[in-house]
Amino acid sequence: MKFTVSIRLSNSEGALERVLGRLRARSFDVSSMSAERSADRCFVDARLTIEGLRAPEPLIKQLEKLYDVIQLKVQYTEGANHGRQQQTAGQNEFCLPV
Amino acid sequence: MKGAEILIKALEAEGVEYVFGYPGGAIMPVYDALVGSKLKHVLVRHEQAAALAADGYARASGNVGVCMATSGPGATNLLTGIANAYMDSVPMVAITGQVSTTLMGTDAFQEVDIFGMSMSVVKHNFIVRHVSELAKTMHAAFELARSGRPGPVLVDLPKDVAGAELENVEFTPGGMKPMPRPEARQLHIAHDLILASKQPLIYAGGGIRIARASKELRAFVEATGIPVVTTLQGLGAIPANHPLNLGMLGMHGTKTSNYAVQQCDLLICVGARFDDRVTGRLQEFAPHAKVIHMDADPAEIGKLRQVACAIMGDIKVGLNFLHVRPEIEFWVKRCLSNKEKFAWDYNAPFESVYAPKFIRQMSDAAPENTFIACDVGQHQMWVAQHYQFNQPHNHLTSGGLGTMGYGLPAAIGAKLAFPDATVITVSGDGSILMNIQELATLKRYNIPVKIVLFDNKALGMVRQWQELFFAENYSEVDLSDNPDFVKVAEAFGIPSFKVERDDEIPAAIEKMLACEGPVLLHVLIDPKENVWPLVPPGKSNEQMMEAKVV
Repeated sequence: MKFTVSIRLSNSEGALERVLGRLRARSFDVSSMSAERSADRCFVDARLTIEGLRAPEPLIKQLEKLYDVIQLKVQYTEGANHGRQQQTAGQNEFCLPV
Repeated sequence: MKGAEILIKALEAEGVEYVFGYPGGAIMPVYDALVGSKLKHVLVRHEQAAALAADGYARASGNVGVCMATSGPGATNLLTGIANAYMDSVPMVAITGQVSTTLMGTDAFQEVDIFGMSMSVVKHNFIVRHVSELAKTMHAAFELARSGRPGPVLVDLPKDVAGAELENVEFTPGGMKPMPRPEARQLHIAHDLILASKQPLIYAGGGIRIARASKELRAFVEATGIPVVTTLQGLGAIPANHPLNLGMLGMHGTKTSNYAVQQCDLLICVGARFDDRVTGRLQEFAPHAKVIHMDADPAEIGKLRQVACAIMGDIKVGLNFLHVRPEIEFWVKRCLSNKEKFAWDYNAPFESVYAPKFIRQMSDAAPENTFIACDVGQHQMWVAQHYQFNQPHNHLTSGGLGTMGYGLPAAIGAKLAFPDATVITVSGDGSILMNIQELATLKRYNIPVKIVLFDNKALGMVRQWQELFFAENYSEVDLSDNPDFVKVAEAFGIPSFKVERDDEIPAAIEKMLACEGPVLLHVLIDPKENVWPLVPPGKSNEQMMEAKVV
């Protein structure tokens, strides 16, 4: 299964590392990645292409739980969900902008 | 005001009463500010015990447990306790000292990247790089630790930030984010599923304790008439002697519970997570059942088992809504018949102490609402099987991480949270030596925790598995050279006595419970005794072993 995650994070220490840690711990690979800090330095916008043998839905829920995650969009590029898009807001509303 | 004072004031503003910790270089400014504060600091003798005591305090009280340690080894020693809290969803704030920001990244003395190291075992973590962020970070840490599915939050505080000055600091204690209400549509689906079911079963877990929802669970059980099985963390969610309580399920669960799960047509999972120790072979777990899953954490829904209905958010709302009465008399009769048929047998045909019988006798003798803090191993499972819990927060046990050495520090935390309650640690001769140094903490503060130490001169659970699954090839499990535990306890100033025979048990339990201060009861048991029943690893819950196999 291959899918792309576009994710907006608060620009806080370790935010991107936390996302990558979740991916690794759940046996997913990142095949490409780009990330950019917003002009106002409040956010980081990252786009990751992810591959893995496991179903992506539990991973997406795990990512949504992260305190730094503000918004998350998933685009399935192959497999049973090919073409499907899913967009959610993070569950934490009290991020500390840096 | 210095950063360290801000941290102490923030803890006071959060209503923290106890901090479990151990001082050292990088956290010295905080210990300096601690003097004269309202906080009661408990000096443990190893940082791991600080985190585990904070965990025990939090589980027992429902409040956020707080621990702190210095940088480097102090911080790494905390990690096991933090991971323990993470695995069992325990609210905790862990504070670590850090080398000054100018030294961070230079491999300075006692510098470790605890922020990076802890990332996978915390709900969130912070490094405070500016004193202006400290108060709001502390309050955010508390809010995060206690909201939603609770968990540990680590705050790493560099020494120069702890020493930096700031005027006009505002303290706004973190609240608790309201739990979302379950969707009405899902509640109606669950309602219909329950009414249509012929063989429904409730599978209750640690989420009941976390949500303090025992009353709601009991009302739900009694309104629906549906039998209940509980996980290790769910013990006490429904009183042990409740007629519809079938006992614990899973690897060391009761036959009644495991058979009921395998036969049910509707499984109502409340605050549990389909852990592998519960399900056995996942593909064969509750094979005929549709699943209703109630949980505070959306990420648990569908993680391991597809569900027919997901009730996310406040489980009390879900439980209160679903008071319907399905037609299940035949099913209930069958479950209760099995319960009678497979009841525990405490008639041991020997003179030595039979641990399950000891635990049952202790359960009968101990006052209501006694806290039992377990270590990890065979004794832990015997407690789960044979102690009669009536409230889930009375049972403190390391479920997810299985941390040997948990029991004694956790008991210290529980006793400080509930000074009038009886608190008993049940440990083994392997586990007790993992945190034996905390006998010094008991003595220092005269904390009247009772310790029941089952001694089979072996790492019993590992030995049991080597016996059953590794062709009796015993490898590094012999502990026949154990120290004299009575003398060890006495060296710490803790009274201690020994029990070796079955007929000594009632008097020994009575003597232990009557002791005013801490006491250690050294109980010698048969080294060959195993925990039964046992679902072998990778097998279905129907395949319970009850006797030695070769």
